[in-house]
Amino acid sequence: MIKLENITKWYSKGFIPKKVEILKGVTLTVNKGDVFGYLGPNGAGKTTTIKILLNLLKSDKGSAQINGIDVTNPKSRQSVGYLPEQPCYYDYLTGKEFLDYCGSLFRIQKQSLQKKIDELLEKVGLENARNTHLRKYSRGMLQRIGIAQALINDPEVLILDEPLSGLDPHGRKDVLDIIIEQKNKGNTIFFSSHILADAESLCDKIGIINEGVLIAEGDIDTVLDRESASAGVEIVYTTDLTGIYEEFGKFGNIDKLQENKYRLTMEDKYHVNDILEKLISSGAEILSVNRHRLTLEELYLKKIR
Amino acid sequence: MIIKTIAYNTFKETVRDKILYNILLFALGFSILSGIVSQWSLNQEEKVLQDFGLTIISVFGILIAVFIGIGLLYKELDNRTIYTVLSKPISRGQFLWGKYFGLVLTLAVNFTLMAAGLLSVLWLFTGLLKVTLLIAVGMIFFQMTILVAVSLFFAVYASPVVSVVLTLFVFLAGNFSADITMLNPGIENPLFMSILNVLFYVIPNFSLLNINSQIVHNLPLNYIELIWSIVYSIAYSAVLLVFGSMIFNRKNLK
Ligand SMILES: Nc1ncnc2c1ncn2[C@@H]1O[C@H](COP(=O)(O)OP(=O)(O)OP(=O)(O)O)[C@@H](O)[C@H]1O
Ligand SMILES: [Mg+2]
Repeated sequence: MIKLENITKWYSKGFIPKKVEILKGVTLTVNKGDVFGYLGPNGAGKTTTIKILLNLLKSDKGSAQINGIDVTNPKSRQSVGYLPEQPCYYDYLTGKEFLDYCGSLFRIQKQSLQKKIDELLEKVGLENARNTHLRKYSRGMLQRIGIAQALINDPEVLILDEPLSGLDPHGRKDVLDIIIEQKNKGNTIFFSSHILADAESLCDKIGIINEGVLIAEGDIDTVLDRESASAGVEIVYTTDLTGIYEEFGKFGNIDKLQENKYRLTMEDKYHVNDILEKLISSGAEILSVNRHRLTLEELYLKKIR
Repeated sequence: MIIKTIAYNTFKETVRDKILYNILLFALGFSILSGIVSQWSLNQEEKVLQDFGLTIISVFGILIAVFIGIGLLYKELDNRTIYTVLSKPISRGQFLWGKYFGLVLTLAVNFTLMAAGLLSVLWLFTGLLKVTLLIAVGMIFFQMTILVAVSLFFAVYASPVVSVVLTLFVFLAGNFSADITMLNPGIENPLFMSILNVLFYVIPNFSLLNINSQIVHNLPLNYIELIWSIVYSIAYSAVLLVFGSMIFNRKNLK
């Protein structure tokens, strides 16, 4: 479980130092077993939040806990796997040596560690690069070894900073599969991303952060429903009425979907009854009336201008 | 356990770092050079060679303790490789102690090699096999363990250039601190005198650990004093690393 309470972070910027507030009181909870997508534009404060969770940065106000332990206590990281944003690993070590080192920092026993390393190298597709120095790894290979080190301790909580960046389509699929596998094991996953489609397919919960403020948070369906309540309505009907009722154009956009199939999309729901009456009285057949539900992408674009 | 793991990895890094080999190569070159130079100083060659050799070992010790020590920590912070380590269930203090012991291990291996080099060069050129030189080398080694702690202490918060300058300043001041208090500067300003006094106690007293001339001139040694000096060097490093860890603990990593 991850808990952030009123996390605030300042940086001093500029030649004559000026305080800039990077995180403005972020409060959020990720429960055990949740997959949480942390979304937001570049520079919103995602990485800053994640680094505070790992005690790499110190928050100036507020508190953060993992599994009920304050993040300033190293014990809070015992069952955490972390993938940093930029893959920066010891380039003088081979893939195997690197995992060995990471595993020993978790105090994993030698024998079970060796087994785990073999298993993980296979899982991330680096069996053949096990004895290659990391300096000779490509960007995508580094991302893979990063995922492997994040899983070395069978973590209950995974914190992944843009896990899908820098990967080719196969790599993306592999990593997505790993995340789904971890989710099915009941582990908690906190990941940041720009790619909304991934978030929509993976997450139970989302948080959208912009300029250091959490502007939407919660269960993905609840958030989309709530935000869709004020959204428009779509009516699909037969017969072209554009010419007959000029004023229809004012209520929304009319698209011709097929021969004899039109869609009127309205920004709001206030004139639905009027329009339906007019449509029926002109002999149109109503094929469907739907409240338009925002996609995550639409929500995101609506929230962040 | 954790400290040992980090220390071993640090040692591995220094071994795989090409700089170290360059330093050793230089050391070797210098020893041979010193052998040749000593041929010209009539009747004094033994002493000159020993003096020269011990000085070279000190210089290379400083290079390792200061430049590699500060360089490694800086590289780790700058390249962010430290993220993968500190995101594990370890404290920053453990990390710093690990780095310290890793560097001390590097020093130990290098000093063993350099000591062997010194004894061989001396024996080759003068036919003298002088094992007591090892005591002097050992004491230089303990000086360097303090210097590693000083380097790391500065490097956790200062930039590498500032750290190098400050560490070298501490080394110089620590070598002459005994002389400073002996010599009366003639300034009666009490503030100045108390600053001088504080510095005297704060700056490590490296001269305690310098027995080069006693060894070279075969003077008798006070072994009890030597043991106390070693205890002093260990205690000094420990205190400094405790303070260093406290400062490091508050640091925001870029
Ligand atoms: N060391 C630093 N000193 C000063 N400002 C910083 C520092 N690190 C980050 N910032 C600022 O903090 C803000 C948030 O950065 P952060 O890296 O958290 O964004 P992000 O949401 O992860 O963005 P991205 O999607 O690009 O990774 C940015 O405006 C950035 O300029
Ligand atoms: Mg980021």
